[in-house]
Amino acid sequence: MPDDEMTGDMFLFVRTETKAGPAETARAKAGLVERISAGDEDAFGELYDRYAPMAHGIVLSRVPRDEVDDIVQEVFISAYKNLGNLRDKNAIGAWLAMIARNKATEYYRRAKPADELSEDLTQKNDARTEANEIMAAIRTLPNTFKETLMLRLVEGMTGQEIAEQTGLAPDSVRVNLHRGMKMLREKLGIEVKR
Amino acid sequence: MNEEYLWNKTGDDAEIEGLEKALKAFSYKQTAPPELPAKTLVLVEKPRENFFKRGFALAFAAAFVIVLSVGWFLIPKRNVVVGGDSANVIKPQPALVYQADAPPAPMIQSPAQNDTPAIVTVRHIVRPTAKRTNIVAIKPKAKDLPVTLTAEEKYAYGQLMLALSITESKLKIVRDAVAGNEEMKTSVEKGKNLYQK
Repeated sequence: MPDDEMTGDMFLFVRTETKAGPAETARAKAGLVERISAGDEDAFGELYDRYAPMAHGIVLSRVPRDEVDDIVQEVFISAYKNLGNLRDKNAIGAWLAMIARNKATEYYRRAKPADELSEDLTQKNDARTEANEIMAAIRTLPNTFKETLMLRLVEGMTGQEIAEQTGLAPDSVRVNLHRGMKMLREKLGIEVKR
Repeated sequence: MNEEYLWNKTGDDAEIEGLEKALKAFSYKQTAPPELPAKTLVLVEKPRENFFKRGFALAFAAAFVIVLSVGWFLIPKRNVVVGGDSANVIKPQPALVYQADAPPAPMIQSPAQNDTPAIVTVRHIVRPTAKRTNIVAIKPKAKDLPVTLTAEEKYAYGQLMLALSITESKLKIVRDAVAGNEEMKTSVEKGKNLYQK
């Protein structure tokens, strides 16, 4: 299947989900949280499938790639354990995003100096590849921009999806995308000039 | 840069598409959700009954009841009239005041002057006692009953009387002897004094 057609299918899917309306989406989120609280493991799997890309993108913007998957798992285990502390069940996405950020910060708190060195070496070895250059450039951006860009460019989420899942306002996401993209271009342009 | 493509992937933007393709290797690969930790059952420990506390409460309640009952007996009972006949309360009579204009009071005849003696009923009024415990029931004295003794009893009585009389005489001798010594003592002392003088 050509890439254009695939993109079109995804677009239609997104539009269909958006048409469901914010009230219905909120109801679905609350229902999902209630089912997990009641011990429904399938509901937890559903939550994981829905929010794992978002958590992955947030963690990836802060933590070395090798560590990301483990940290994402930690995020969901922590969320499951502390689900009782979630006051607004509709804000499950924002809550998960916050846990992901905290876990990434925690990683650097507990990381040994040897781990950081190995990360540096890996970066040097893979520095030739374009992907790693772009990734390194994104990581130098401020947190708000690099998170949004990572979700958009790496995880392939639309602006609307980013807003829904992270709990950010759509306008904020739009601004973050625009400014982040501008900064990334500047950074990549500088590197290209070198 | 196509803003619409950046926002919702509509339209074309070669630059962003290139970035997406390059970064696709970093994207999330669907994995199974983590194994959930075993649910921890929160055991709510039933609070133990504090037997000491309960015993203390019982003892306190018992002591309180005892104190109340003792207090009820010890509190003085005022205006308690004992006796059936004195149950009627006699109202105080107004004081007599001499009034000049008043008609003369009727002559009071003494009982001796009456032809027929009036029957006077005396009411015994028992004044209320200060304390209930002060009420002492006076046992009426038993009347002397006529003594009828048997011969043996009469003999024993006679012997007892004899013994008493003997004892009394002996006592008198002793008393006299003691008195005599005293007199002797005083005389000796007097003599000494005289001699000294």
